[in-house]
Amino acid sequence: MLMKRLSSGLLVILSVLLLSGCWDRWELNELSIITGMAIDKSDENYELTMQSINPAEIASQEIGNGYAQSFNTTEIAPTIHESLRKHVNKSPRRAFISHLQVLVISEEVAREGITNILDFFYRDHEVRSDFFVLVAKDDQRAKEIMGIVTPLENVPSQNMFDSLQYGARSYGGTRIVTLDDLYQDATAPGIEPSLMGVTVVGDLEEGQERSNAEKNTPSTTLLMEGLAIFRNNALVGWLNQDQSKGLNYITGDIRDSVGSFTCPNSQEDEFALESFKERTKYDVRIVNHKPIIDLTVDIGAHISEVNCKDLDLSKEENFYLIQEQAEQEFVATLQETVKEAKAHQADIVGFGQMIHRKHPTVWEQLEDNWAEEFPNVEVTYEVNINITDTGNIINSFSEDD
Amino acid sequence: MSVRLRRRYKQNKQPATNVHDHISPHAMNNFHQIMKRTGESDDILHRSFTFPTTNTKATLIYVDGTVDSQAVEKILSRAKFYSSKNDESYQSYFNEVGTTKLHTSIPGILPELLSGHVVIFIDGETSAYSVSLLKMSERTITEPLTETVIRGPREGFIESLRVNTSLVRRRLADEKLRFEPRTIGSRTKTKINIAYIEGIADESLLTELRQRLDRIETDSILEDGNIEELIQDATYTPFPTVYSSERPDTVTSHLLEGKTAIFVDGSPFVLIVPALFVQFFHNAEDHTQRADIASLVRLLRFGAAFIALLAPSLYIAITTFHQELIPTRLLGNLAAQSEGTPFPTFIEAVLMEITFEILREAGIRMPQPVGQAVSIVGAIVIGQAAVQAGIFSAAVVIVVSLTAIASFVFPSYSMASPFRILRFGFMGLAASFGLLGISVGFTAMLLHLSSLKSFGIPYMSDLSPFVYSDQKDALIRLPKWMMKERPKTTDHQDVERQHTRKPSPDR
Amino acid sequence: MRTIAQVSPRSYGFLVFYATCSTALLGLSTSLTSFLHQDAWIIPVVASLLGAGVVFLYTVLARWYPISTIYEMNDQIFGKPIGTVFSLLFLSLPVFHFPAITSYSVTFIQNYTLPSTPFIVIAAIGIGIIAFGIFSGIEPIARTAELCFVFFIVPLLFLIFTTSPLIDIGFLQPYFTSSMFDMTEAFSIFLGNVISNVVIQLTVFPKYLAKKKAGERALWTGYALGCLTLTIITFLCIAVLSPELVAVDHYPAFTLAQEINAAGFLQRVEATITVVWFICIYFNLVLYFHCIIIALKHFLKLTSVRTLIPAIALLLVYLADYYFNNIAEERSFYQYVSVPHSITVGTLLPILMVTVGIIKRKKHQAPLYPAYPDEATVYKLHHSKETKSSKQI
Repeated sequence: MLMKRLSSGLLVILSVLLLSGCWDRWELNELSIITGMAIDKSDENYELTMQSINPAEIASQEIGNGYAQSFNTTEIAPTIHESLRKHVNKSPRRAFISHLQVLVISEEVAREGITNILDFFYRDHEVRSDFFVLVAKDDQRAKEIMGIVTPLENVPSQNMFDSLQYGARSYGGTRIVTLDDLYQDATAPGIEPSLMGVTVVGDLEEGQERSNAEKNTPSTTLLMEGLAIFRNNALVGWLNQDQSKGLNYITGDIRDSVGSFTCPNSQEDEFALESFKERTKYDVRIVNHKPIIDLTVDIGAHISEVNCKDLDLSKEENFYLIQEQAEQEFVATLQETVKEAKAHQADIVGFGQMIHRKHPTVWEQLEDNWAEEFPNVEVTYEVNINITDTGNIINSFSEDD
Repeated sequence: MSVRLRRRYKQNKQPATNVHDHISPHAMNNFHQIMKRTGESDDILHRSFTFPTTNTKATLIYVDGTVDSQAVEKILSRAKFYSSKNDESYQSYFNEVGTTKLHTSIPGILPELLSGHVVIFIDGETSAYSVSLLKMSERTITEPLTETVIRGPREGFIESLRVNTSLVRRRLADEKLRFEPRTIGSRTKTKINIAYIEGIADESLLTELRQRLDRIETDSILEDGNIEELIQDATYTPFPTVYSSERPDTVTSHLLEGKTAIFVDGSPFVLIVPALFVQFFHNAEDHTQRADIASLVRLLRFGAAFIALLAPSLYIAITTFHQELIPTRLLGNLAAQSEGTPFPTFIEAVLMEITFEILREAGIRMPQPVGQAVSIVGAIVIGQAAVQAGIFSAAVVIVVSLTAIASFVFPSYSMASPFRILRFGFMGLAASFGLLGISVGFTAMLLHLSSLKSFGIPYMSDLSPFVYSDQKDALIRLPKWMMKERPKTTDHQDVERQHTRKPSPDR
Repeated sequence: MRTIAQVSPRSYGFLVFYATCSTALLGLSTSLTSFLHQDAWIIPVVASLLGAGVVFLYTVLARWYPISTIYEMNDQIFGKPIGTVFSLLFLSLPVFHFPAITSYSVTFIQNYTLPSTPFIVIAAIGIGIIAFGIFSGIEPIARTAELCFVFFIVPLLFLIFTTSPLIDIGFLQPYFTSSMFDMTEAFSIFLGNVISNVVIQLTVFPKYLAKKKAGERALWTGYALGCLTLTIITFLCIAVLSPELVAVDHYPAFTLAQEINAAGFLQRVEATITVVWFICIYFNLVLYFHCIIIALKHFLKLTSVRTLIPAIALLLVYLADYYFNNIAEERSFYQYVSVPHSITVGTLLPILMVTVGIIKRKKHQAPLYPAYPDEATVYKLHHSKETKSSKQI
């Protein structure tokens, strides 16, 4: 009896183990780890370029053969998923996209609309939504951006990922947009998505060469600059670097940044402020059935560089002068940003969302033709800069000393 | 030795019907009868002597090597001073040398003779005397090998039951400490003592234990493991439900918590029931070290148990099913290591684990000088060559080594074994279903553990059912002055343990 | 040896906690958000307070019949023939929902971890482990529930604490804009999926609890903790992920777990957080299975049902496999069948039982809210049950 029970139990366990085996098992050396993807258009089809890392070359301990650290393959298919799986036709391993770090969309694709792309990436179980989405600027093909080899980080996708990540922490000119953020902006009422732009500086051919990474001054580098503006999930225009920063200030997505401003006492000279502790508040007033948006940006800053002549920073009133000057220029930047967005009828700032949140009833009337209404929205700006410190020295070196 | 009066013999229940069972008035006849029954065994010796005053012949029989030969000489040499004539005086005369009992049948004598008694037949008497002169050669008390401590007593139990009980008695000079005798095994007639403290130990537990011991019908009990297997609650489980210890101080502390100890003659291990799961993670050292480090070390042990159980399976599950869990750069490194390795991770891990188990078994069984050679070969095979040859990936070697080290942290060897066995099961589940398989296996293990009982007490007690007051000495250990009460799970009667207040110079 | 399992109140509290969370912990926010958008977090708060009334009905029933399961209560309240009808109605709850929840969970597992593993295999090992639990008995199950707590609460708290810095209050604005109709609809979902689900506890409580009074407290604690957890998770989902995303996401809590990023290195751990859902759904399904088993015992008057467990488990595996043809069917089941059915069984049936019970007890002048008998009495009652149960009101 006992032996019968034991043996039947063992039989069940064994059969489960043996029969199941490997439905979903993928050994590490059967996977190609995709870290970057680029989507271009080729006629009516999607041209999908995938960048997988070459583990033997990338690992710190293993001595590789000195081959390239990443491996790009391009496939063309009408849907993204099909081209993804077709990848195996050109690469010996199955594409594994959970570790995707950067998705670059070509401007051409972005102008046609990104809804299709969002759908796949949200539907697929293997995709995690924490990678960054970029748009290839200046009519660069996204595929080519994936091929630029640069020093320090030889894998282009990793390069872009780090550049964006650390850029957002130290300069604020870049805007981190993960798939989640993109989805939120694309679906939420009263806001349109904006995506970081990337382009190639220098010679494209040389940038693809390995020798590019071996130089002190590489002839070709990647440049993260500008923000793509979307309307109805299709690209309509670009913000420049300053405007991107302005947008980051308005939406409160900035951590630490440096800005240059003209000196209060001379138009030629400039000083720099390192800002931290940025906080944006907004309020929506309804005047004559029209919404007015009041933006208040509070910034804490240090003086980090002073080229102004004859500006005695040990005097309190000069501090106020500087603050005032910086505030004015700040407001100008913000206005510039909003103006550009209004020009494209693309509410990337999310004014509609602000109205929706504060005055849902007003929003109901505006919602249907928001794109037309948006440029008419009145916005007031108030920037309060609070300079607390002047760095390690107080006054600049001057000839008098 | 008066406790022996309670001993029960099956033989005594049956009246002696055979004519040869009777004790013959001729002493030498009895000797021949015994020699016939024992098949002329070489170790049975006899010495004939005479009581000069009465001119009565007598024969003294004993098993060579089991009795104190000096005491035998003493009986013989003092026989000439013997003067009285009645039975009573024979007994009191022998009593001066050793505890003496009167027997009326040969089958009644044999077990005594074979367990260190000297049997004396006197001409004209139809009863015999057995004098307890047990003196076996025994090991000196040494430091226990299995439960070593840095700070704490160095005494360990030895193979002699009496010495073992004395070690406990020395630590527990309480009148309520009871040693209840039993003899189990129709052929081995192994002596067993049940030790408990009356008034602390639960009466129903004792009844249950006595019943279980009495239920045993076997020819042989060679050591404590036999008893354990015959009295444990659940048989189809890898988990031990009886605790065994080599340390008198451990046994004493358990007795004080209302548990019961079983001493088995011939075994340097003492069984303790009921045994709870957490108890297997405790060590005598926990109480000799300071409470803070003892608590942390205990938590470390539980952590090590998890590693020993799950590390290889988690590695398999994560690297072959859930690669998204690994940080990108680490994944790159791991992938680089597995480049070119021919086997699936599961096979790699299983092979490595089996290699390790072989090494471990070889290391234990080998004589010590050879054992070292085994470990050197093992280190080279596992550590270096296999990785360099590209057969195994270095990460698997790291995981298996970590598991191996973690499995040595168990203070109790018997608890390490279920973890060793289950580890392979978990690896199989992980290779089939990834983390889901591990979760399923773990749930099954928890269910199984929850359904186990040790002498009526849930095995997982203290953790589930969670007894808040018992946490003072379960997962962690609090200072002794805080343990004012005995654990609630095992003790319901004399709960209060001490009144010592928190030590402070003001008091 | 006592024949009735003696579940400890504390263990039982955990069991209620998990079973209350159940699948709702994973997917409730989606259905609530699709009706109420950013206001969805209000429902768990309000509804669990209102739901306390329903749970109160259960405790009233337990106080009337401290040694019975709901099947026996039905017989005693309505009499044998009508009681059997209502018992069968009650039985339909676990029978309908066990395969549905199994299917839902297996689909979840397939979606995220084991896409190519056949449905039936995952269902088989899942139900296998449930059957093993039932085989061990309700007492080890409760004890396991207690043991699992650490594996449940640590990931849950980790999830809550690592995602709470990501809260964007803006996602909750504008406040309270939903219509009353949508509110009612969302409320009915919560009533059906969460509160009415607690009725399955009446197959464990009060019969299998040693201390009835403490058991009642455990029921309340478990219910409160469950609702609190659901509220927190729903709130976090909306405030971290945005209502738009939650409304389309099949498993929003899992997406929430994907957001975890503690100190830059503890990220991508969502697969380990799934243990929370595993535990919740496991114990809920175990209780459903227990309901079915207890029903068989009751209807067929069996003394032991252990031999039937494997057979029923096999049946349930196949039922789960063929329950839904596609995800659309599953959605309509939850929308049109599950909610009204659960409310009927979990809320209306107890209301009816209590109403009839009150009338009957008034007639017999029995106390309407009696205290629980003490332990000794309970012990006696359990052992003289066959003779006494018929005489009880």
